[in-house]
Amino acid sequence: MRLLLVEDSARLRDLLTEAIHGAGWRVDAVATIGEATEAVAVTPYDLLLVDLGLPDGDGLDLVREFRREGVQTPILVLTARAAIDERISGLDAGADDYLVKPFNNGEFLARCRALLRRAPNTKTPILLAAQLSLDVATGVATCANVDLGLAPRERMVLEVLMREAGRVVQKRKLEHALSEFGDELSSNALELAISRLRKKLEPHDCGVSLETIRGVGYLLRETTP
Amino acid sequence: MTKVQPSLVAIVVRRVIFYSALAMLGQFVAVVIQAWSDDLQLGHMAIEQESFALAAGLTRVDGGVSYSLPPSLRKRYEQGEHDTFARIRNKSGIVLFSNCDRECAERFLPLNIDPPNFWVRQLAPGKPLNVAGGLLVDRGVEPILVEVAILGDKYHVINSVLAHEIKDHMATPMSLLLMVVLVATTLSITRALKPVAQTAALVPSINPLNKKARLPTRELPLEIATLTGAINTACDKVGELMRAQRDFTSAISHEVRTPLAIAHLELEKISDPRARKVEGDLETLNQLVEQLTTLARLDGADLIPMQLIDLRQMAEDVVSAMAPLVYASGRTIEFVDNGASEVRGHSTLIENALRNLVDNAIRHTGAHSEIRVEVGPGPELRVCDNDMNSAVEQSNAISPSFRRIGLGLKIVNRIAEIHGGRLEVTKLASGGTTVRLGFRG
Repeated sequence: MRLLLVEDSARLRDLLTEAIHGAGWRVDAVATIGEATEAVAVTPYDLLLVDLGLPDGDGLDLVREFRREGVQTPILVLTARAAIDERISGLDAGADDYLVKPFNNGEFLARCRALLRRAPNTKTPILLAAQLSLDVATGVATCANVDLGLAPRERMVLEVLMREAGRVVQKRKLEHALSEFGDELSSNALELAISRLRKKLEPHDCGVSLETIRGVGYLLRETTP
Repeated sequence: MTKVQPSLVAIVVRRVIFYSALAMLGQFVAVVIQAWSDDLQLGHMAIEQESFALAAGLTRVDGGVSYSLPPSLRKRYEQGEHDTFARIRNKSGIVLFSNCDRECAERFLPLNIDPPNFWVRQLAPGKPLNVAGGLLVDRGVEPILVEVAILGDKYHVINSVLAHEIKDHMATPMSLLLMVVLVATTLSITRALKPVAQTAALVPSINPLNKKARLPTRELPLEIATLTGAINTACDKVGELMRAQRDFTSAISHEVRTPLAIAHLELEKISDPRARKVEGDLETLNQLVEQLTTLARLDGADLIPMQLIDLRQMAEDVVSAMAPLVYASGRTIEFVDNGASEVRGHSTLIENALRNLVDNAIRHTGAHSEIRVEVGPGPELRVCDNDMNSAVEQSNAISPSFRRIGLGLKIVNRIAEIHGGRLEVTKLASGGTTVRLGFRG
């Protein structure tokens, strides 16, 4: 994995570089829009980390320019701007996610991992969340290397939840995934799949928790940072 | 009490009527003076008028003509009066009516004369009128000569002549003109003002921050275009001010948050428990910066046009977005829709308010508390918790001072105000708090 970090504060750049190295990824750190443009032109990155307040312009303009040029790489925007309308304009500009300063290491790396899972260049279709892993190609889900023996529907639900790990997945999205899966769905098919999945996860110490957000959907979250 | 402003049409109509009245008065004086100063003309008109009036007594009878005095003239031309004479005869000299003998012979054309169509003779100059004359009228059978002599004008024929003059030369044409002017004025003003009303209806859609959300100036009459142009310029200035203020708060927030982020990341490397405490302090400081900048941004937020907001969708999104944070803190969250209606407002502000309320619930409840976000019924949302630690003695006491009011609730309160809504905090005796944010439907 190779990341590009665009951040004008030298100290924050060093700290984030250190954190990224700690996660086992490579990173190129630059301070300006000019350097970032040059770097993206010559190097294929898996993830771009862009600070918004840069000395030679607004990071949002950089994001917009990348998207205009057809750069598909996921972009995580780092910003001091917390106001919701600015968050929205960041996502409108083409950013994939938004992280407001200050943040902690765990949060930062979790967001990076989530975006890298979605990266188009990613060749390994193995989804990871704490000790839990799912090989999308073979459909084998393991927890600390023990096969959970999931049924196809449970696997389908788990795949959607793992792709969105750390975020709430709306019930209708999961139902949609299940209905694409094949035969007619009974009204409680999703509840059934979730409850079986929970039972299979329970005996193992996977470091994840499958939460029901009543009225909205489900959340798969890592319980051990 | 405020006086109701008269409409432009009413003002103009009033003025048109006033000036028309002035003009009519002038015309009246001119007509009277002109008619009065020309005795011959006055005599001419008097004879003409009296002859016509007398001619009304002519009737056709068996191929011939007979005459009787019209009732209104009976008194004036009865036999025996000696200053108004009349004689009515045909061309061949046969008299149909006469109230005089010698006086007629003296003043009228001899009976054997074939009369002209009209004749008049001034018997004496000046006033009162002393005039004689005749008019040939044809009622279809044969021409009849009506002759009149007025000596001294006892019956004020002159007044009715003047009244006739005024009616013909002033009242009728000027009334017609006035009607046309009034209708034309009302129509043109109403038409000219139509764009003003249309433009005024667009005012609520002005957004000082959006240069495109301005009043139209094209296809408007010049004067109105100037006014809307001036309003647009004023909006531009307000927009610039708002933008400058936003940039300023953004800059402040950026300058503070980057060092905070650095401090946070550095602290994480220190395992001493005191570092965790400092992390907590930094988080509090960060919240304060966020809330202060949010408060600063709320100024002028009400200048931006509102839009229709799907309260249910918005609340569901906020619950989705905040659920990971809630569960990470050891609490739970759920969402209930009781049939929320759409709300007219600023979506970013209402979303901000809800985030603040959920944030507040996380911050001020004990571990394992359950948070519930409800929308509806109608235009309202509620954030409830079942925090046992916050149980208070009073039952259902509405806390007017917001016992746990922080900047967060202050922001929510301000957002409620901007929407003309209400914020209510209810503490339950069983523990737990319900914060209700109601909007206008």
